[in-house]
Amino acid sequence: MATVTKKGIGPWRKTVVEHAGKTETFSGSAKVTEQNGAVCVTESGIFKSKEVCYLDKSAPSKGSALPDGQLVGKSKSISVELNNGEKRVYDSSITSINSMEKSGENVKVVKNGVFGSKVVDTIKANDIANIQSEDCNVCKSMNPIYKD
Amino acid sequence: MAIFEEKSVVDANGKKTSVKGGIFSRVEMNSKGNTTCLGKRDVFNIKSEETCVVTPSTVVNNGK
Repeated sequence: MATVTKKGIGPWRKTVVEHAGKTETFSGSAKVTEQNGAVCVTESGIFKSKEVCYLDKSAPSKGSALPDGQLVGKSKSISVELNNGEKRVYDSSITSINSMEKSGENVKVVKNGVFGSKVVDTIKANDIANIQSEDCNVCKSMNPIYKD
Repeated sequence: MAIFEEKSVVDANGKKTSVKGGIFSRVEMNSKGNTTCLGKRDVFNIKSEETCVVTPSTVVNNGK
Protein backbone atom coordinates (compact mmCIF):
# COMPACT_ATOMS: atom_id res chain seq x y z
CA MET A 1 0.00 0.00 0.00
CA ALA A 2 1.34 3.44 -0.93
CA THR A 3 1.17 5.94 1.90
CA VAL A 4 1.04 9.60 0.93
CA THR A 5 1.95 12.28 3.46
CA LYS A 6 2.10 16.06 3.11
CA LYS A 7 5.01 17.43 5.12
CA GLY A 8 6.27 20.95 5.90
CA ILE A 9 4.68 24.35 5.44
CA GLY A 10 4.68 27.06 2.76
CA PRO A 11 7.41 26.72 0.10
CA TRP A 12 8.94 23.80 2.04
CA ARG A 13 5.77 21.73 1.78
CA LYS A 14 6.41 18.35 0.16
CA THR A 15 4.34 15.34 -0.83
CA VAL A 16 6.09 12.19 0.36
CA VAL A 17 5.11 8.78 -0.97
CA GLU A 18 6.23 5.60 0.77
CA HIS A 19 5.77 2.47 -1.33
CA ALA A 20 7.48 -0.92 -1.53
CA GLY A 21 10.13 0.14 0.99
CA LYS A 22 11.10 3.23 -1.02
CA THR A 23 10.36 6.91 -0.48
CA GLU A 24 9.75 9.39 -3.30
CA THR A 25 9.23 13.13 -2.87
CA PHE A 26 7.04 15.45 -4.96
CA SER A 27 6.20 19.14 -4.69
CA GLY A 28 3.72 20.19 -2.03
CA SER A 29 1.13 21.10 -4.66
CA ALA A 30 1.18 17.62 -6.22
CA LYS A 31 -2.31 16.22 -6.71
CA VAL A 32 -3.08 12.81 -5.22
CA THR A 33 -5.80 10.68 -6.81
CA GLU A 34 -7.00 7.12 -6.76
CA GLN A 35 -7.31 5.35 -10.10
CA ASN A 36 -8.57 1.77 -10.19
CA GLY A 37 -7.05 0.98 -6.81
CA ALA A 38 -3.68 2.60 -7.59
CA VAL A 39 -2.54 5.76 -5.84
CA CYS A 40 -1.40 8.35 -8.40
CA VAL A 41 0.58 11.53 -7.72
CA THR A 42 0.64 14.28 -10.37
CA GLU A 43 2.93 17.30 -10.57
CA SER A 44 1.69 19.75 -13.19
CA GLY A 45 3.56 22.65 -14.73
CA ILE A 46 3.19 24.74 -17.90
CA PHE A 47 5.99 22.92 -19.73
CA LYS A 48 6.30 19.66 -17.84
CA SER A 49 3.95 17.30 -16.08
CA LYS A 50 4.82 14.15 -14.21
CA GLU A 51 2.42 11.46 -13.06
CA VAL A 52 3.43 8.40 -11.07
CA CYS A 53 0.96 5.64 -10.16
CA TYR A 54 1.78 3.18 -7.39
CA LEU A 55 0.30 -0.29 -7.75
CA ASP A 56 -0.22 -2.79 -5.00
CA LYS A 57 -0.64 -6.52 -5.15
CA SER A 58 -4.22 -7.25 -6.10
CA ALA A 59 -5.85 -8.33 -2.89
CA PRO A 60 -8.89 -10.58 -2.76
CA SER A 61 -11.95 -8.52 -3.66
CA LYS A 62 -12.82 -5.95 -1.02
CA GLY A 63 -16.49 -6.55 -1.80
CA SER A 64 -16.50 -10.00 -0.21
CA ALA A 65 -15.45 -8.44 3.11
CA LEU A 66 -18.38 -6.03 3.17
CA PRO A 67 -20.82 -6.43 6.07
CA ASP A 68 -24.42 -7.49 5.51
CA GLY A 69 -27.07 -4.78 5.73
CA GLN A 70 -27.13 -1.23 4.46
CA LEU A 71 -23.90 -0.20 2.68
CA VAL A 72 -25.09 3.11 1.31
CA GLY A 73 -27.87 5.28 2.75
CA LYS A 74 -30.17 7.34 0.55
CA SER A 75 -27.81 9.01 -1.96
CA LYS A 76 -28.31 11.13 -5.06
CA SER A 77 -25.58 9.22 -6.88
CA ILE A 78 -23.89 5.87 -6.22
CA SER A 79 -20.81 4.94 -8.23
CA VAL A 80 -19.60 1.32 -8.25
CA GLU A 81 -16.32 0.12 -9.78
CA LEU A 82 -16.08 -3.57 -10.59
CA ASN A 83 -12.95 -5.73 -10.59
CA ASN A 84 -13.09 -6.01 -14.40
CA GLY A 85 -12.74 -2.22 -14.74
CA GLU A 86 -16.43 -1.58 -15.44
CA LYS A 87 -17.96 1.44 -13.70
CA ARG A 88 -21.68 1.69 -12.95
CA VAL A 89 -23.32 4.93 -11.82
CA TYR A 90 -26.82 4.98 -10.31
CA ASP A 91 -28.29 8.49 -10.30
CA SER A 92 -31.53 9.32 -8.53
CA SER A 93 -34.47 10.95 -10.28
CA ILE A 94 -36.75 13.75 -9.10
CA THR A 95 -39.19 11.29 -7.54
CA SER A 96 -36.75 8.69 -6.18
CA ILE A 97 -33.49 8.26 -4.31
CA ASN A 98 -31.13 5.27 -4.37
CA SER A 99 -29.61 3.17 -1.63
CA MET A 100 -27.50 0.01 -1.51
CA GLU A 101 -27.63 -3.05 0.72
CA LYS A 102 -25.81 -6.37 1.00
CA SER A 103 -27.44 -9.67 1.69
CA GLY A 104 -25.21 -12.73 1.58
CA GLU A 105 -23.22 -12.82 -1.68
CA ASN A 106 -25.33 -10.18 -3.40
CA VAL A 107 -25.37 -6.40 -3.25
CA LYS A 108 -28.63 -4.76 -4.30
CA VAL A 109 -29.09 -1.24 -5.59
CA VAL A 110 -32.53 -0.07 -4.47
CA LYS A 111 -34.58 2.76 -5.93
CA ASN A 112 -36.75 4.31 -3.20
CA GLY A 113 -39.66 6.10 -4.81
CA VAL A 114 -42.93 7.66 -3.75
CA PHE A 115 -44.79 4.38 -4.37
CA GLY A 116 -42.27 2.09 -2.69
CA SER A 117 -38.88 0.48 -3.29
CA LYS A 118 -37.61 -1.40 -6.32
CA VAL A 119 -34.33 -3.29 -6.88
CA VAL A 120 -32.71 -1.76 -9.97
CA ASP A 121 -29.54 -3.87 -10.03
CA THR A 122 -27.96 -6.83 -8.25
CA ILE A 123 -24.17 -7.20 -8.18
CA LYS A 124 -22.06 -10.05 -6.78
CA ALA A 125 -20.20 -8.69 -3.74
CA ASN A 126 -17.02 -10.42 -4.94
CA ASP A 127 -17.09 -8.37 -8.16
CA ILE A 128 -17.03 -4.99 -6.38
CA ALA A 129 -13.72 -3.13 -6.24
CA ASN A 130 -14.92 0.24 -4.97
CA ILE A 131 -18.05 2.20 -4.02
CA GLN A 132 -18.45 5.97 -3.85
CA SER A 133 -21.47 7.98 -2.71
CA GLU A 134 -22.51 10.80 -0.39
CA ASP A 135 -23.94 8.73 2.46
CA CYS A 136 -21.66 5.72 2.51
CA ASN A 137 -21.04 3.50 5.53
CA VAL A 138 -18.27 1.47 3.90
CA CYS A 139 -16.57 3.82 1.40
CA LYS A 140 -13.82 4.94 3.77
CA SER A 141 -12.69 1.39 4.43
CA MET A 142 -12.68 0.58 0.68
CA ASN A 143 -10.62 3.56 -0.46
CA PRO A 144 -6.82 3.90 -0.11
CA ILE A 145 -5.34 5.54 2.96
CA TYR A 146 -4.53 9.21 2.52
CA LYS A 147 -2.83 11.00 5.36
CA ASP A 148 -2.63 14.81 5.32
CA MET B 1 -1.74 20.31 -20.84
CA ALA B 2 2.03 20.46 -20.45
CA ILE B 3 4.36 20.15 -23.46
CA PHE B 4 6.57 17.51 -21.88
CA GLU B 5 4.73 14.72 -20.13
CA GLU B 6 6.07 11.82 -18.16
CA LYS B 7 3.90 9.04 -16.78
CA SER B 8 5.19 6.22 -14.62
CA VAL B 9 3.85 3.11 -12.99
CA VAL B 10 5.52 1.60 -9.95
CA ASP B 11 4.59 -2.04 -9.38
CA ALA B 12 4.09 -3.70 -6.00
CA ASN B 13 7.79 -4.67 -5.92
CA GLY B 14 8.97 -1.08 -6.48
CA LYS B 15 9.93 -1.53 -10.17
CA LYS B 16 9.28 1.68 -12.11
CA THR B 17 8.19 1.82 -15.76
CA SER B 18 8.12 5.25 -17.42
CA VAL B 19 7.07 6.70 -20.77
CA LYS B 20 7.98 10.26 -21.79
CA GLY B 21 6.16 12.41 -24.32
CA GLY B 22 7.37 15.54 -26.07
CA ILE B 23 6.21 18.25 -28.48
CA PHE B 24 5.13 15.73 -31.13
CA SER B 25 3.79 13.01 -28.88
CA ARG B 26 1.57 12.50 -25.86
CA VAL B 27 1.51 9.83 -23.20
CA GLU B 28 -1.59 7.92 -22.11
CA MET B 29 -2.26 5.62 -19.20
CA ASN B 30 -5.05 3.01 -19.13
CA SER B 31 -6.02 0.63 -16.37
CA LYS B 32 -8.30 -2.34 -16.63
CA GLY B 33 -8.55 -4.93 -13.91
CA ASN B 34 -5.06 -5.79 -12.74
CA THR B 35 -3.29 -4.41 -15.81
CA THR B 36 -2.03 -0.85 -16.25
CA CYS B 37 -0.69 0.18 -19.65
CA LEU B 38 1.42 3.19 -20.62
CA GLY B 39 1.26 4.21 -24.25
CA LYS B 40 2.65 6.90 -26.51
CA ARG B 41 0.76 8.46 -29.42
CA ASP B 42 2.16 10.73 -32.11
CA VAL B 43 0.50 13.81 -33.62
CA PHE B 44 -1.49 11.56 -35.98
CA ASN B 45 -2.93 9.69 -32.94
CA ILE B 46 -0.98 6.58 -33.91
CA LYS B 47 0.24 4.50 -30.99
CA SER B 48 3.98 4.10 -31.28
CA GLU B 49 4.67 2.15 -28.11
CA GLU B 50 2.85 0.48 -25.24
CA THR B 51 4.13 -1.01 -22.01
CA CYS B 52 1.82 -2.90 -19.67
CA VAL B 53 2.36 -3.69 -16.01
CA VAL B 54 0.39 -6.55 -14.49
CA THR B 55 -0.36 -6.40 -10.78
CA PRO B 56 0.59 -9.71 -9.15
CA SER B 57 -2.07 -11.38 -7.03
CA THR B 58 -1.73 -11.70 -3.31
CA VAL B 59 -1.28 -15.29 -2.20
CA VAL B 60 -3.93 -15.99 0.41
CA ASN B 61 -2.87 -18.43 3.08
CA ASN B 62 -6.06 -20.17 4.07
CA GLY B 63 -4.35 -22.27 6.72
CA LYS B 64 -4.34 -25.51 4.71
